[in-house]
Amino acid sequence: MIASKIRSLEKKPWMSDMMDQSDREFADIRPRRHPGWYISAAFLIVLTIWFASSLAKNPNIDYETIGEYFTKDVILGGVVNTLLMAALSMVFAVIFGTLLAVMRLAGGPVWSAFSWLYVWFFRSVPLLVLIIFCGNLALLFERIGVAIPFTETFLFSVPTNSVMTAFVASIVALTLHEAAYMAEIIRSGIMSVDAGQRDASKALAMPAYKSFFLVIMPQAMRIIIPPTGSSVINTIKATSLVSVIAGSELLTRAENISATNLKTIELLLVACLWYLIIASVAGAAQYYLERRFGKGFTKSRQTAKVPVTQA
Amino acid sequence: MPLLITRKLTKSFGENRVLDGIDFSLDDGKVVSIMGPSGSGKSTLLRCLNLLEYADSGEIWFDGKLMGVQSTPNGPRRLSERAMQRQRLGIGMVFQQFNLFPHLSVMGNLVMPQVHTLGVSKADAMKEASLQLGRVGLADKTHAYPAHLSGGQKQRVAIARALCLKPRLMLFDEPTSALDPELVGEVLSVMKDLAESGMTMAVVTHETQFALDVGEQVVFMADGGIVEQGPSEEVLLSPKKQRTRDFLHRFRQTQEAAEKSEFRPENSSEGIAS
Ligand SMILES: Nc1ncnc2c1ncn2[C@@H]1O[C@H](COP(=O)(O)OP(=O)(O)OP(=O)(O)O)[C@@H](O)[C@H]1O
Ligand SMILES: [Mg+2]
Repeated sequence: MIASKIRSLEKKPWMSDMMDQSDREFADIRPRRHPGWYISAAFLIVLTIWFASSLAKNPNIDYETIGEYFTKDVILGGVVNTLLMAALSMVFAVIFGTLLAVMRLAGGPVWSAFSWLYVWFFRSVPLLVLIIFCGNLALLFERIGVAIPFTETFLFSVPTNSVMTAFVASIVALTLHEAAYMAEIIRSGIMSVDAGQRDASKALAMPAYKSFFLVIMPQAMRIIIPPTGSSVINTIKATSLVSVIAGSELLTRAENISATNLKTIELLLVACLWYLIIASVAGAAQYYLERRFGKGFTKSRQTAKVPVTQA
Repeated sequence: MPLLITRKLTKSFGENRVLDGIDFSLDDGKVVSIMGPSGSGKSTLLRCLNLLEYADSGEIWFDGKLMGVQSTPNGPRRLSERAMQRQRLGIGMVFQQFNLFPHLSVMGNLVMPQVHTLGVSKADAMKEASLQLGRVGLADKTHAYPAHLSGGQKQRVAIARALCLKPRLMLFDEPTSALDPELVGEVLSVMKDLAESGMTMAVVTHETQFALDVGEQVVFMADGGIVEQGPSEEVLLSPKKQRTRDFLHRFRQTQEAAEKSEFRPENSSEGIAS
């Protein structure tokens, strides 16, 4: 239909065609039609309903158990532990990762090499291996504390197992691992900031650390936040790995329960639902952070409500 | 005694010798225009003057002090970053690409450096910022973000930002080269006012009319060296060296060609020596 219209236009000499139209009203241009979108949506909806109904009718799933355990204290405690573990290791990883990134970029030859080695090592070691290692640290060092280097003389020490509980070991392992990734994310953020910004803050006689926190980092954040959001969600999921050392987070507790009542699938689904909820909340938080640090970069008209300074 | 003196300043990037023994001086309250073909080392010279780049040898004397180095019995040694930071405070710089802080409003751009380098209170900093914004004619843009300003407005904010720190010397690196032709005039006129108020300025520029009207001195550079320097009229209107003559001749031709094809604003419309 559209094609035939074009053809009929082509038949006329274009000059006279333009003349004809010179004093007529022009209709608004409508957007293109996308029939394919509706077909794809219908296909996916049917597929989803089919899968959902086969789950719903599945005699192997006991929905009452799911409902019962979803809000049980043991499980809720596991959720809290998962959140605590992920939050603490992310906070430490961001701090440590920032340090590593700064070392790499401006720490001089020695610290720069150290940072490179750290990232190389902890990105190469599988997280699961690291977790098992930290969980069994007592097998390697019986006591930890402050000692005189290269001697066996402790100034102060405690049995390894008394501080390296499964929970602490999990946080240590997750932090060591995640810091390597955060270092790379933060380094790329810092490098994405235009060199002119550093020149300008130097020319304004700002000390290096102030220029870092007030000029470079706020701009690097725009680049840093999206991959960090993925890292947060990754870490939340990675906490489930510490079930191998009985980290007492969500999955460990779900597995402990199913070990006694044998409702394996039901308790896995309970854990799965909770991971979905936590990850969605984290995703929403990321959206708001991105908006916050996108300020001044978008072209939409906006002015500061009050004189804004980072002072 | 001059405010700024350089002696046998040299700087190389690897094998590339970008500054090759630069000697010049600038008296208090005077304006020098630095001209020359692309790649001749003009930006590098300015960047060495306020220690954004470190010269390999030679001396920079600013306000009676040696910049960036201290003398030791074994010869000159580079100062600590902290000490250089203090020395930079006397020198303001304006860049071709403005380099405003995009995450801060205009007011934030002017207040933040004052609070964090001069250590003045926020209230005083805002007072000074308003004063300087008025001076460059942008009192109404206080709360705008840089992304919403025109190039000419951005550059005027950048000038105001540098002035807030009360420098003795202002460096301008092609301040109008990134601007649409119709915006050049507003920035040049701010710079002219600044010069008339007695500011000492070193300006890398291709605006010959500005160099004649506002600048007392011209330094003409090529290949990392100074080919010719002296009073503006002398260097620009009756250059002694062939190199300078060739450059000005070619430059004038391209400018005339450009003028034929587009409208130029008032104060830069007249060619030189016409
Ligand atoms: N950071 C750097 N690393 C390596 N080479 C550089 C660096 N900065 C400048 N150069 C080189 O130094 C030379 C002089 O550069 P400079 O920017 O000082 O020239 P300029 O006179 O300002 O030129 P233009 O008019 O194009 O701005 C050029 O050959 C350039 O490639
Ligand atoms: Mg340059």
